[in-house]
Amino acid sequence: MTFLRITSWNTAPCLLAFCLSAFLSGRAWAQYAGVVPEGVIAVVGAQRNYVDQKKTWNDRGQRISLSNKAQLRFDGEHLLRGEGGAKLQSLAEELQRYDPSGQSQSLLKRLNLGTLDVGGQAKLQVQYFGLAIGLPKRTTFYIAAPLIDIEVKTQFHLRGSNNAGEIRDELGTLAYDELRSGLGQAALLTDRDIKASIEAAQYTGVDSWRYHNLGDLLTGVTFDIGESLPLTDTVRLSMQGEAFASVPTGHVDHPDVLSDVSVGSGAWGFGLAFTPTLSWSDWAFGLESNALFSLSGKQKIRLPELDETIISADRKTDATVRPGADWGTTAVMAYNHRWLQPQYRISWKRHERDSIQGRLTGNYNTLMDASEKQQFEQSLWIYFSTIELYREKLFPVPLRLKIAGNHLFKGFRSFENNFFEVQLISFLPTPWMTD
Amino acid sequence: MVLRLARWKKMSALAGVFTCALGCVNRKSSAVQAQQNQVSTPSPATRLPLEDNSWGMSGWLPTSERDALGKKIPDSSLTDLFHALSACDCMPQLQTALTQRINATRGALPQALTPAIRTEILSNSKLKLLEIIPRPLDNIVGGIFADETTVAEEIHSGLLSKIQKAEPEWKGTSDATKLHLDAFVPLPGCMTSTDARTVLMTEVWSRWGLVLSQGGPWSTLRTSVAEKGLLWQELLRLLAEGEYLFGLAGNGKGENWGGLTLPIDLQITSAGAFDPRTTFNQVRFLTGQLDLALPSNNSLALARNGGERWTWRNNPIPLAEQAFQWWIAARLLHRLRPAQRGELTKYFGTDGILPEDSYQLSLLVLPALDALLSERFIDESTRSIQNSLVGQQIAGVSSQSGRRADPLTLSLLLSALTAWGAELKDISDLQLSQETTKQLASAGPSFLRGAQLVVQTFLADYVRPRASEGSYGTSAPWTLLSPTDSRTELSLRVHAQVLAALIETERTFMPSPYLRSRIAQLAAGLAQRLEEPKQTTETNSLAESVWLQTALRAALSSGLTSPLQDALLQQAETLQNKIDAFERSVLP
Repeated sequence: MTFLRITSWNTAPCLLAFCLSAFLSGRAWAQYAGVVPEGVIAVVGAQRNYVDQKKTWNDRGQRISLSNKAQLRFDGEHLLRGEGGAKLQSLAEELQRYDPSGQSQSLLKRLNLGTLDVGGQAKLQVQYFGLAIGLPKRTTFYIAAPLIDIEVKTQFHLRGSNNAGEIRDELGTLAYDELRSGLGQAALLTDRDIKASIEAAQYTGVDSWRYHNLGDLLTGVTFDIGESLPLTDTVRLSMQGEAFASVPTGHVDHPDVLSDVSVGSGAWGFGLAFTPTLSWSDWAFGLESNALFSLSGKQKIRLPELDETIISADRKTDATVRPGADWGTTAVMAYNHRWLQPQYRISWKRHERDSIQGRLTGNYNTLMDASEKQQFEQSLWIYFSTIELYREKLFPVPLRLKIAGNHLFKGFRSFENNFFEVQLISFLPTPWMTD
Repeated sequence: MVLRLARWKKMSALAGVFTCALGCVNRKSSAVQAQQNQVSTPSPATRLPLEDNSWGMSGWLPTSERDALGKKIPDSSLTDLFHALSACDCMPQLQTALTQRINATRGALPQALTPAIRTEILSNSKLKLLEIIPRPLDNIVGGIFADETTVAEEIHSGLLSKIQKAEPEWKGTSDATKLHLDAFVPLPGCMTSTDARTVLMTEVWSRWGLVLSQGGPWSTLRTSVAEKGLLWQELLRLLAEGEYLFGLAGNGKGENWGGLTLPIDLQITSAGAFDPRTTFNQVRFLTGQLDLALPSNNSLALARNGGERWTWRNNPIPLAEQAFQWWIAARLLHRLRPAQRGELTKYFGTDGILPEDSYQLSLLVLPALDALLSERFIDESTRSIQNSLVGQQIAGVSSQSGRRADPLTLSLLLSALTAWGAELKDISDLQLSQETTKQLASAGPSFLRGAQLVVQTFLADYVRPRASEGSYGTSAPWTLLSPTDSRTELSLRVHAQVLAALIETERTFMPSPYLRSRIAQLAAGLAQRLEEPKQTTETNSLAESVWLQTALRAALSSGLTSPLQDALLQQAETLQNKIDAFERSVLP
């Protein structure tokens, strides 16, 4: 039973969404409760605390600090694309009029206001709640809702030399007073001015952004595939299947919010999972594999012309987004004691490239490239179960407590998927319970 | 970024008293009974209709319709050549020869209608008798009082006396009938055998430009008394024409004499006077071609009754024509303003040759300059400059969608704005009303802004690196490319004229290290192009050579460094030899 999916495929590589897109990327398969006996209702509640997101994995699989995740060069060419906001873009456009030849010594190419280091950090917590009902023929229906609490904080720092004053003096009286004044102001550019310029491009959430609401809902059925087969006297093979659907109830990247991140996919998804398990004595080895395919969804995005990070407001467009497929495989080694069941898990997850299309001409590839992600993780789960004790009437209620830790040891465009989780499942009998 | 070209204040409130621009012919001449001889007053040639030629100016004349001198000039447009000579002042012998031709040619407007002469005729005591003669009989009895020879001698005597105040040794011309004050003399080089009387404004400005370029009496190059005397006379003719063009003089009873200006919106197209002392509502301007019909050929009848009719040929208004006019007007102010008079100050004033406030004539173009640029030719929203105005655009009620100004038109406009900007930097020597002074002082930034737009347009649309390799020191060669075909260089003549305008602007009006470095690159491009073999298809016009020399001289004086300086110097010497050779071949 899969209860939690957190999805992010950043559709707008705007200033901080680009930085933080990896925070929540990939599929987080959080919970596996197995098949619930017929007539039993399982109620799940969990709290997952992620480590503070101060680092991220880039597209080359390197773990880098988020404090200077992006360096925005405030040179003429980047300003011309609007990365410094509308006013600086106008300044660059005006400067280009004086020498549109594009030579390396042109005024526009020489203009340099410095480099803006953009960084930030995020805090992420997830609570999820689920309900599972055991149906006949060892089938279980479940529904799960994640409640996401994420807070993103952004930092700006402008460094490097600024030659706007020199260019103003070089132009002399050839330049309009407005341009001279603009260059004079640009020579005194500060972090605060840049933030004001970004806000002038109709962005909100420049300094921080917080989201505390639902992620994508999950629902599906889990079932055993036939009876477990004895392979030897001590080894048995059992197989479990799952069909599930993802409901797009989570937040997706808003084109006007600079530092938000997607916690939902924005589209309906349908998936299958298959888990063969070999067990012998108290040990079990399983291989969980799953795949999710999504439908297309409509989404409003800001489309970059080239590779600009601050995208002007007039480049907002309705796009058809089809999230790429998700694949995941987890090898599980478990030990079953009466009330203690530890598991060691090692996982590979991959999110394929999204498809994004729209009428506006621009650089869709940048958006699509940023959506491709991969994670390699390991985790240790420890279950404390009273189910056997309950059956033996040694404990008043059937409960299962999970304490888990997850560690991402290699990622590509991935957030730091390291967390600590506590989960509690209680089982309630119904009149239809078989035994 | 808000880019707004500030409007120039209307000069209609020009409060300075504009007195008779011409100090009038010797009032002592006694027997001026003008009967102008029709035979002795050849009419100027009919100009071809306005042509939208390569640079927006008009007035080209086929070689077959030129006189002997004109046939020797390979240029298709004589106004173009005169413009080049006005800017260069580098062919003194040819300029003098052309001035002599002007001096000896009769104009479209008989001198009896020139305000100065007309005043003399009407105030002559002997002619008071005519007051009792019914005016319809003027044609019959006029000849009784004076024949044409007497009139010519009187005028000759009066003019001679006037000019001799400045040039006592000057004896005038040997032929008394050639000393006259007809207005609107056709450009030398043209045939004068047709009967049509017509005035093409570009030719008026061309002629004024030729006179003013030589510095008139100011010239230190021209030491010959004869040359100076000629120039004094042409200066007087120039001012007489200006007085007539704007209709500034009259009979003192409310009737204006002359006036060829048209209302700025051209809602009506009848020519009239424009005197800022009295005209507050309607700005008027001079443009195009006007044809003249005279009611009589009798000088006395003309002087007493006037009655001449002018008909404007309705044609587009080229910016080049207007810019040329504005440029000439600025040069006129430069020549006549008190600060520039020096030792010639004594020749101004009541007892001099020229009126003290004659410089105010040049200011009359400013109201139209303001209205045409800020409301019609320049579109602030698109920062575009129109090549010409037609239809609704003239009335200022249509969005501009015509052809954008070509480089030569832009260079003319730049020269005009630069000249005016330089002239109005300091106006403390001008005797103007407080309000006018205030308006002129505030016009400077507007001229600068207009010039900035022109230079920016050059840089944005035309100025590019040359495709060829090589450089002159640190200056890589740049050129002017066609905005529609980035592989096609504009002609050498365009390159030179634009370069000359940019240098003058940067030097006098718009200091800019960036523009200076671009100018050096354009100069390097020009030097490189001149070193390359000439394309056989290129025309070899005299105007092109003159403009090249103008640009080379300007570049050489702009502080360039070797080896570019050396290359330019060599080219300038070669070109001067070529120009000198041409002069020798043309002149007797």
